[in-house]
Amino acid sequence: MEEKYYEISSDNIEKFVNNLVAQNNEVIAPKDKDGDTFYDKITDFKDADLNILLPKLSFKEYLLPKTETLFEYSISGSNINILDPLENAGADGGNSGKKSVKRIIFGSRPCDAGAGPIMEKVFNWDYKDEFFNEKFKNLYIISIACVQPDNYCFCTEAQLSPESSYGSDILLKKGGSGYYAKVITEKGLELINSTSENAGLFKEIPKEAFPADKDWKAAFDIKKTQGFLDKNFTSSYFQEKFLSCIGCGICTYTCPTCHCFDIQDEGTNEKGKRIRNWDSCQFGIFTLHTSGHNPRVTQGDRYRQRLMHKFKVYNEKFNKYLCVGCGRCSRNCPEDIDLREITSELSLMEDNITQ
Amino acid sequence: MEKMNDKLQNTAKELLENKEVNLIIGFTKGSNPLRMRSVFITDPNDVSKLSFNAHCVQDLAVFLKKPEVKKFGKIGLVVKGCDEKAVNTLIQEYQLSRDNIKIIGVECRGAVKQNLADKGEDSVKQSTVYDKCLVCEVHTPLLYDYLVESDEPAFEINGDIKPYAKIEELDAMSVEDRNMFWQKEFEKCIKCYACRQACPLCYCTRCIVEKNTPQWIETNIEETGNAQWNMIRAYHLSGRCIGCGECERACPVNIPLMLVNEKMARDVFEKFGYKSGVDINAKPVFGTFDANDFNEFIK
Repeated sequence: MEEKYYEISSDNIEKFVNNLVAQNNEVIAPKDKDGDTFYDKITDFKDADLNILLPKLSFKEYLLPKTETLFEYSISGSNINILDPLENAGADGGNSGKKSVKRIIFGSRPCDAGAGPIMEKVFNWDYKDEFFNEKFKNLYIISIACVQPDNYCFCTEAQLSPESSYGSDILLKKGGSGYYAKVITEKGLELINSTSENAGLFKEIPKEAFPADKDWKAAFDIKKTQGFLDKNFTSSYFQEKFLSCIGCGICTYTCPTCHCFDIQDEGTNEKGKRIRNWDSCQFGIFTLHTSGHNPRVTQGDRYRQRLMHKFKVYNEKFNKYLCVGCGRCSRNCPEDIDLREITSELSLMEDNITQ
Repeated sequence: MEKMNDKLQNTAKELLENKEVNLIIGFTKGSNPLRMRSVFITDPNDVSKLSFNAHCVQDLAVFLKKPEVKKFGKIGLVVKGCDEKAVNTLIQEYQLSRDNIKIIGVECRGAVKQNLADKGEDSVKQSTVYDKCLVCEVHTPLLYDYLVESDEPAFEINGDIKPYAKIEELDAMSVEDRNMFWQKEFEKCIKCYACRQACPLCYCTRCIVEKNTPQWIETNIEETGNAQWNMIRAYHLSGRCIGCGECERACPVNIPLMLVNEKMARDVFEKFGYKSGVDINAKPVFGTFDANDFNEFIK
């Protein structure tokens, strides 16, 4: 659709969010939890903590739950009963299984919003993952542009920007009497026009009145990072650099775009379920064969895999990077491994080789 | 700090030059001025990278379990007193030969909590350091081959802050309330197992949670699975945990894991008079048998 532009006051944005809650939508926003911020369900606009840069975890769990039931079974005698999640909302009441409630993320950052369509490509590449698609279809994203990224942020290098609207249904920018709003998708328009009261809170403005993006400059060229990865699979860089990696997997668990999962069967002979859990390429067991052979035997091999997947393989397939530059992996790494530093370093190494 | 760093670097250089070790693991400057990270040095010319300050939060003993690191054979390790106890425990449990490690002990005056440092905190005082620093008995490591003395003054403790205060609070609760407390904490768990990876003493090549024939621990992130994982890990660490606090620091969802570990350590001391990681010649408390044990079943 053609993008639409609005202005909305601070008071009205509060009313809008509270109306969305009152209309029985599940509204998720950054929320303080014991001194740290996480995406969580809010029941009032005031619950949302919009002053922080980024919640500690992304909102990935609303697209790919940490544990998701694929089906349940029960056996009695010769009767085998399969509970199909198509007809069943799943054991945890909606977050699991193919049925999904309408869910609105309010106050996400452009990096997190960008992760949705990036993941969607994987979940629809050959097999159409109905579990993901159902949730993605029902997820509405209202993001707020960043003003000041921190030292771990590199969204601009990752081909987004602190003001990018990629993946958002509505992008808000602070200014005027509160916010300016850019509505990118039909879903965004649907939220605004959900009631006449909501529609009245937004004042349409011409495109020119919407504040222009700043001229964000990338500090390094991510294509050169890819260039290095293309040619240097066996580089000693990986083995040396990642001696300091303890393989905890926090980088992948806090990453908005990492999407690997592990399928497990849990239960007894009579009753049980098949679930999928988040998994991580940083675990030694991730590629361990039943024969005992492990093709990624060192942590250097494993971190190289993460870099290759994000900045080479995914790009070759989908012409986009599997990274939104949110910097969570670096901020949360207990050993202070900094992905921005690494991708920048590799791009410079590529420079030195090609010169 | 200058004097400390000089001594640290000279010691490392000597060890590498004399081929007494093949690798030095120490601290170096991190991604911002208030973060430090580990550095792996094999070339004596690189020792200038080594430094130490109150932001050296990591327990470098964790690397001793890594196969890639073990390959280096003789290793020189820079350790604070708390972390050095992990080295002792590894020796006690036959995971490390005393001959293969040169312990470069640093006298530590307390480590600034990383979450505070990330917000700009740079001073060492009772309100900024980890709880373990408030009860620390090993500012000078118990065992070392080389000691790098601190040139910083000790911070003042006036009793205003009670370390691990929540433990007594939990002890006073009813079983139901205590259970509720932990259920709420474990609910946050995302099963990333970073607590395990960050632990210098979680060295099993195949963790019990990865065994599925039979499956001992549920892998889901629902109530049972989460409680099973966190409680089993606590049991596996009781009488062994040396209190470095790396599990809690690594946890991305802020589960107060040190409350469990510290509580178990207190119980083990109370019941068996044993403190972990203190003596490399002591038998691990759960690896020994005593005819005078207070439990009947064991006799």
